[in-house]
Amino acid sequence: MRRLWVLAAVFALVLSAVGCGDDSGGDAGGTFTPRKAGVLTVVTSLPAPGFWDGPDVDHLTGGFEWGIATDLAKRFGLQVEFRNESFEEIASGSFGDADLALAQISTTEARRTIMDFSSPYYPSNAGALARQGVTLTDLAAAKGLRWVVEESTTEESFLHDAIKPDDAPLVTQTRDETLAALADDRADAALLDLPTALATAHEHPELSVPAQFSTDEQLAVALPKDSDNTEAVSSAIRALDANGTLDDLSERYLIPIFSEDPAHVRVILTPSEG
Amino acid sequence: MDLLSFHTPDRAILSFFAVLVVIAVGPWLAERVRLPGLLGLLFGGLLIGPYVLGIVQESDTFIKSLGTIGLLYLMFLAGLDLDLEILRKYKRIAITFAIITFVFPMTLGFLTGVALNYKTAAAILLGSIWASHTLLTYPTFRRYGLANQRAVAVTVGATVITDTLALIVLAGVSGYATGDASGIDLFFQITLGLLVLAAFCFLALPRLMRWLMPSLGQPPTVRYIIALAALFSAVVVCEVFGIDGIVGAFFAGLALNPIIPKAGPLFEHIEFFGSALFIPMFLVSVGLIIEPSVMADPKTLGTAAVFALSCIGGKAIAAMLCRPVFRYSWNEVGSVFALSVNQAAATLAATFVGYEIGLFGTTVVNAVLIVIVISVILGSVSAARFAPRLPVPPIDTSRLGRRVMVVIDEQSDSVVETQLASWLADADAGHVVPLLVHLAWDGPVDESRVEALDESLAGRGFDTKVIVRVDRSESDAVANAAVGQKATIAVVPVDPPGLEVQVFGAEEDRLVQLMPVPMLLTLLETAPSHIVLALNARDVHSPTLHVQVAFDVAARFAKAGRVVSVFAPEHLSAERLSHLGGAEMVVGDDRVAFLRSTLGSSHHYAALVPSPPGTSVFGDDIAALAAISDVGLLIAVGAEGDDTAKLVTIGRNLAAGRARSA
Repeated sequence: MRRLWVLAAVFALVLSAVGCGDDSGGDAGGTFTPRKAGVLTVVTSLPAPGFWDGPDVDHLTGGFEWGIATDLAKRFGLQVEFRNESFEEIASGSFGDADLALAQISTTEARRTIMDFSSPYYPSNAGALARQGVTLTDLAAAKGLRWVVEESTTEESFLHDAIKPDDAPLVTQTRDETLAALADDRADAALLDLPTALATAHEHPELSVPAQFSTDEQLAVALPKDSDNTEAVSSAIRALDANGTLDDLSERYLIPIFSEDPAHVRVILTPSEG
Repeated sequence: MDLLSFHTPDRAILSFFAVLVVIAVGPWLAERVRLPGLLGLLFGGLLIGPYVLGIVQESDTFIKSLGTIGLLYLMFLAGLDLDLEILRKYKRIAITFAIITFVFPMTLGFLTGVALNYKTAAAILLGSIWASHTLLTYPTFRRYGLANQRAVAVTVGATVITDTLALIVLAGVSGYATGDASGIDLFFQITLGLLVLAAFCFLALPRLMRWLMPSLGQPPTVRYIIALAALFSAVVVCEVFGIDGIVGAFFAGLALNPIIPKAGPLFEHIEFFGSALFIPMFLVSVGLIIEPSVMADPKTLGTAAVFALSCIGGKAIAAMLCRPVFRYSWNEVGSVFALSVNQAAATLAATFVGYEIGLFGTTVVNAVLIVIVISVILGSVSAARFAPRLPVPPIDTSRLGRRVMVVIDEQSDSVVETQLASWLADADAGHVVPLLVHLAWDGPVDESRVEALDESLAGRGFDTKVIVRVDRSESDAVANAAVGQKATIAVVPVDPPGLEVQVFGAEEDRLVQLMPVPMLLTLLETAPSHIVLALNARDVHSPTLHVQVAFDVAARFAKAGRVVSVFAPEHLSAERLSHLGGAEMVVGDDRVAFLRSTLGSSHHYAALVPSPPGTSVFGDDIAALAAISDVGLLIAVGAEGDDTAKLVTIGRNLAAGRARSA
């Protein structure tokens, strides 16, 4: 009997040490502690139709990533505030005073060295955006095309390492330059992330997405390196996936702005770029 | 100029290769340091995962999908492998213990979750995780010949109930966490889902399997695919109702448990693929989510300590309560603890689901893994301490039909005898072993005939393979095969006794002398639908082991749906008759006259008689019974010396002694 009391005392002691030592309260899915009390600060890069709908952060009306951000805030019991930054700034691991970034950032090994990632929320294959009539059925055909790609994107390195086109690709700085290269016939196809390619094709009927390349990359919430909030955000993202919220958001905000369902776009497998 | 050009291998291929290496080497390494192989797989997954070597990444959907299939397979096999006969035998006491060993860890786990400020759903799931257990140390107790020891058997039987309850809790929690419904709507949705699932698994699936197996499922590969399809059909039903698939997988395993004999080739195939690939895949995929930095974090270690106290404490309290409730000895209490403390398959499965639906984060997952390691070590140490101290029980003769060997004819398909054997086996969830006797001087065995017999048996729904025994005589072949095949009873067709029996004695008498297990000698032309247990005055007043075997056989026929009646010189007790399915009783003195006058014109009847004591199975009036045309005859024979139980117990004691000295 005495042993039982000793055990119970040890149990209570360890319980209090684990459970009560954290002022913010624990949770089996992890604890989220915002930088600014009571507020979840999210940084993104606008414009990003489908992912963020609205001209600026003060006039947002919806969007796939907007939906994720507001749901996260609700789960953590916080208000939500948005900030706009350039993609380069975010991709460099600079979050300013934001808690996390939702900006179609794909998980790469290089980025993992400067930021943390949550569990992924969207597959991020690379999509080929081409003029109507350009055929792209396999990797051999892809090598023979004249490509245009935007600088410092994951698609640039993917094009170089995995597709290895016969002609050196045209590298641009902005989306407008990319579209101009296609329009002027300086390139046959542009390599973008698949959602962007599909959304662009929807806006420009003269363009289509004949194929996507399997990249093994996914979009995820980015957090500052070694953030204590990663576990809580990951658990929340998995919960959004399990309860169908991600599918609902995609159905509501992404599918309508895509030229076609991503599941119907031909997938071209490439040898791993390691 | 570059002479050599090296390429980076495809990531999916490399990942799969790395996982296969872990599956091959991990358990071996773990067992070298006296840890369960399961831990080798978990830590192998950690090693090749994104946080150490990075060979397998979080984005490797191929490995992730295989892991999910492995999880479903694990729960399917868990349901398939449970011993439902033990649960039936110790029903009342097993249910009581199941409730005790479910409630205490569940309550402590839930209170721990509440104290740690977890959401209610997460706290409930945590409690249900500790309430389940995996019989990892059961093989140790079996090695000591303790499978039928009451404490061991009750704990094994209770596992069916604890794991089912834990999975029902999981169904509710995951339904709540992933669905839109809440409160009363959720309750109705989950209840309806579980009812539909239970109806599908326990009513539709067995019928469908019994219909498909003899027709479509004759080739072994197709039988395996049908079993897999059954597993995934239950998972689909679950998903329709928003219930996690592992509940369906477990229910499918439980439903097919009586249909797929554990000693049969189909179970062997299911177990082989499970243990070779699918289940290790799941365990490695769990290892992939272990973060060493999180595992070594003081918060994780503290959480693991609280978890361990609530889980192990709950299981210890439940085991200790067995002493006042069931009057167990301390060695039995220790054995119950050694069997029920192990957290492995069900725990991992539920934790993984909790992680996937976002209720648990990596801290909880890593803490649970630490608890698994602690519980497994504690369980193994306790089993090694308490198993040798338990007395070895006498053999369980109540499971006569566990392994029914039936001698089949090389030229015919022995349809009647195999049918009879299957009734005996079905009654005890046993297995039929067809034996083809081939005499040594008859030249080589005709392999094509053996294959044809296999196909014929498969076509009649038997999940078994023909065993060929080459020997000097039929008696030697049958007796030796009975030992080799660990038969619990042998069904042996015999010919009616002719003149030579009176001169030279019956070959069957020699077989009776050699046979180490009970036998049922058969003289049948068709499978009987009505069996008359015909006893004479001596059988009633001085019952031998032959009489006991005759009653045991009759009870199994009754359980298998045959009509059983009893002819005897006086009324038998109601209790005795109740074991025969409330058999009709006919009182009379002359069983030969009764059978000749009453049953002589029908092929549907067979007389079941105990072998007479003495030197010949055709002694007394048995030869006269055999001469009645149209009535089948079954002669029940106990093992020579009337002491089978003692012989086998001695054998088990010897085995246990060897295990101890090892």
